[in-house]
Amino acid sequence: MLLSDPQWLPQLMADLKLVMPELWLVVTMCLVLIVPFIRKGNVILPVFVTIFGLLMALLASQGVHLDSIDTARQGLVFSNSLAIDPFSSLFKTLLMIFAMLVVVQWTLFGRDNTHALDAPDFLCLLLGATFGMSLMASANNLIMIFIATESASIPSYALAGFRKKNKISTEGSLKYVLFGSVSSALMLYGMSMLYGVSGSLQLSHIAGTINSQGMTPLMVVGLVGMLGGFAFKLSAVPMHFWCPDVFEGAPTEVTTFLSVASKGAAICMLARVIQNFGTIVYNEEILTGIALGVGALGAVTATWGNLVALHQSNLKRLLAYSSISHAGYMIMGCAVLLLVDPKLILSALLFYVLVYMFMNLGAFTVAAVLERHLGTLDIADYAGLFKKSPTLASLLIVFMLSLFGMPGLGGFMGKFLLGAGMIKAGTLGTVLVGILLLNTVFSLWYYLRPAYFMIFVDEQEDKTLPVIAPLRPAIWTILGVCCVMLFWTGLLPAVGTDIAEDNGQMIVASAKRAQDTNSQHTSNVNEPIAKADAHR
Amino acid sequence: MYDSLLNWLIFTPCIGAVLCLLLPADKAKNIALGTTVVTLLMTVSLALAFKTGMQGPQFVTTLDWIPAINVQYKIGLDGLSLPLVVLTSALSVLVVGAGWKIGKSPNVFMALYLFLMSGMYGVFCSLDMVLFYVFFEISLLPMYFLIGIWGGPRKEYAAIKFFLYTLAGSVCLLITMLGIYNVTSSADFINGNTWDMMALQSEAVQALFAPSGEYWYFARWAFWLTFIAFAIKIPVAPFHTWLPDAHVEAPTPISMILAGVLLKMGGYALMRITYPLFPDAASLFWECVATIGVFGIIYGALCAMAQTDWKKLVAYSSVSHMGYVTLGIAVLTRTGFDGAYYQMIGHGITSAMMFFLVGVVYERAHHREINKFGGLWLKWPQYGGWSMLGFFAGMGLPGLCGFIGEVMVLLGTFHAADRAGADPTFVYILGSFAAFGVVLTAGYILWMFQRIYMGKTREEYEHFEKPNAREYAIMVTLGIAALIFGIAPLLVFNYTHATFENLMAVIGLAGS
Repeated sequence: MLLSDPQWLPQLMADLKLVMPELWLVVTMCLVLIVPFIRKGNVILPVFVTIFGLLMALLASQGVHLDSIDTARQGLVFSNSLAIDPFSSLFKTLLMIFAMLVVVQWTLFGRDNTHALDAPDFLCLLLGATFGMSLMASANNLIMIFIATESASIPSYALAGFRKKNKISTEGSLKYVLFGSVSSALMLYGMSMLYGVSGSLQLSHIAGTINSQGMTPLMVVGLVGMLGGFAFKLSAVPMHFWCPDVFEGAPTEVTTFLSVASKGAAICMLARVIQNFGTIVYNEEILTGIALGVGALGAVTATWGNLVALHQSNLKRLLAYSSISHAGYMIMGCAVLLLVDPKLILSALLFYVLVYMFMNLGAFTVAAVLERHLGTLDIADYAGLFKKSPTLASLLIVFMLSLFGMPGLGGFMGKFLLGAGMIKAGTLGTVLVGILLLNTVFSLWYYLRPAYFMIFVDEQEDKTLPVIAPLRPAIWTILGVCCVMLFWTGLLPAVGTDIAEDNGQMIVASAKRAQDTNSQHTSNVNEPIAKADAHR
Repeated sequence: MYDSLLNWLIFTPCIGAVLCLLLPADKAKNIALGTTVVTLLMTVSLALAFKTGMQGPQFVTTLDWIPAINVQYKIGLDGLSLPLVVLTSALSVLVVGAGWKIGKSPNVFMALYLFLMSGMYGVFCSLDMVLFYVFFEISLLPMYFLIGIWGGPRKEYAAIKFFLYTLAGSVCLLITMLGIYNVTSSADFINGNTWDMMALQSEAVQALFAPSGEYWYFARWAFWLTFIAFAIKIPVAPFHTWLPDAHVEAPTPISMILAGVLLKMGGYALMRITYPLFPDAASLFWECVATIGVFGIIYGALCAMAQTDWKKLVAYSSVSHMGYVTLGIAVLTRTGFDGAYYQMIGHGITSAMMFFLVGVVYERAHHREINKFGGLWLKWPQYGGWSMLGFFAGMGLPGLCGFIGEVMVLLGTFHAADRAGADPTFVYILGSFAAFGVVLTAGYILWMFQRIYMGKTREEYEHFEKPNAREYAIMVTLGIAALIFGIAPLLVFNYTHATFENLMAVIGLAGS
């Protein structure tokens, strides 16, 4: 059918142009694997190649505006399987920047723990995961969602077990694989139901089926199954068990990467699915039902993550549970997406991911420094650290306070904007905001624990801390950049919010079936406002 | 010029704090003292330039802060904020003086204290709710560290308790703010939503929050949420349990600023946000709030009477005295408001003085057991004299600053009987209980005074050094202030008059 269209070649070229970021990533993956044939055992060269590839992908992901895309196709490429819109392109930009920072972080810490011959493999896996996550942000039909999730997950399993001689790392990796396969199966099962009900792989068509058939039990089973698969990537309760073990065992840079990029991509995917439903389904009851379900998932995740974090004594595990609760906050934001003006929520989510990226990068980098120089991740062992290295301790406190949501730091603005969007969703929104804020209150306890030990508790006689050797300037640069970004987004958030606001748009394919060629490519941009007005 | 001076006032302490951290540690005290003196001078020049007849805020700076949701950086001073800013500046100098001998890392202490000052100025000057919230919460953090690092034996517990309690309050405020955002962005009478406190008092918004308005249900919730947020800070009796712990564990200068200024943030915010924004809800629930206030007065006084720890006694006296503030605001009369406000200023002076007087002795005796003291007057007659002035001012002796506030609140309470819809019997019972609080206050202060200052000098205190010149300077300054503000209340009322007129009009009580 495609080839019978005389326009297929130009269309293919146009489509390829829009997936340039992903293409660059694939090319770089190959290049990184070729490098060892030229220079065996060299680490710096593959790192440079990786950074170069990420940079090119970053540049290629720029310049996506809704008005600049060919209006006939609206950025829906490869038969609507990918949606290249401002939302996904800003996420990709953040993802590439973050991946670059992680590569730098790995070059500074992890390189010493990795055999030089393994370096290209590591980078290739990282790029592969980035590729998958980049696709996740754009995935617009069931097949693409599955492929994207798998191509993000499979390299992640290998990355999590990259400390081959380390038992905890291997254990974490195995848990990750087992959980991952179960949830993939669950997701596929759900998707098969959805396909069975709607006869289409397109999200918009599935949403259209709800309009025509209502919420059939099969549809519910299918949606719950798919949500279960998403929950795994988001480490949402009850699919979160892998998260602390993987985070504790994996090399710190992998943990950093997974905690931000993997969750961010999954949030984008969830937001896109929900946005499709929100735009096309017009039965308010069904929309509220979906919002309630997703909201409950987010609320339970956030609360559970925080409650368990209260008991953690290991810094990395604490951060793992903290990331679970942050995922919960973002899921709650996604939940109300179909009840309010989506632009508010989408831009708030983007801003949140932007801030979250720097907070987690900073916190995990400090954790890596402490693990490496003090040989322990037990928070109680950091007693008296503030006196020995005040700058490092202060930085950790700044990152922790931002994760908690202290005004003046970016984390607060993220939560605040999310809350401002959520409150508009009536009673459900108010309840969710209440849960978000309540969680914030008791999360304070564990976010202040490192500060408590480092500052208030004096060093014990029998347990003197080894002196932290002067850190490399590059490490200070990473920490400094994170810290500055947090203060910047916290004190002068206008720049970040403007960018997020400009990009808070998603495109949704028409609900009409593909047979109708005339309307195949017409799309709706953020239509629910008009639709909601019409139905009130 | 004065507009930018107000901005400088807020951020000068920050600059001082950074200097404290960067320059050698032994310079920190001088930098802090210099900074506080400079901010005091700035405050004085602002007070001199202040036009007393103006109702609205003066020296206003407005900048876009987060355009996406219309948040502004908007600051200014009006009659409600100026006296508290002056109080903050004046106490700050004394607090630095009181902290002169702090042993452990004085530079970090001073830096945190200066950051706290910025937060306090910010709270009193913000005219935008988000900005207010940011300063309100930022001021918690330095306090957490100041109590947690330099505090007494249970400092960690007290510090985290203080932080968690006040944070729970802030969260109630935040949810209200988001609700207001929801209201103002859905209603299409203004250009988009607003967080501007002045715009929120406009008739258009008030019509929504009125009993006949669309958002009356929300207004009632919002009233209680904001009330709880600020009641924790004041603290009003059921929410006060953080205060004795925080005060007992905090070092003397921090107790002074905590009682002197930070508690006032709660009362100020009630007058600035809760009551002008939700006046109808306030008048619906006034009996409940007033009862809570009276309960605080009596409960705080009884608790103070039962204490054997001197500092805890003073701490509970704060609960009792701030109960008058709650009561004065709750009864919704002009006299009550004036009295509540004056009580805040008066309590700012007396509580700081009382905590300092306790601190002077604690530094030498290293304990605060009331029953182990005795005869301090004979030992140090001068100190005894100033103590008498300080504690009697706290007690509310006529001619000293504690009296005017209390008496006006009581008058205002009885005035409430004339208000339409108020049950006179209830008002009289309420007023009688509040008046009984004055007797209890006299009781615990005199009894404490007797046990500590009267009687024979005890042997174990023979070797005590006399208070030095620095300590006397602080005592004398506070003592004279207590006297001046006890004689000349117009010093404050001149500034607040016009703004309160406006406030009463907003609340709908003009002429009462």
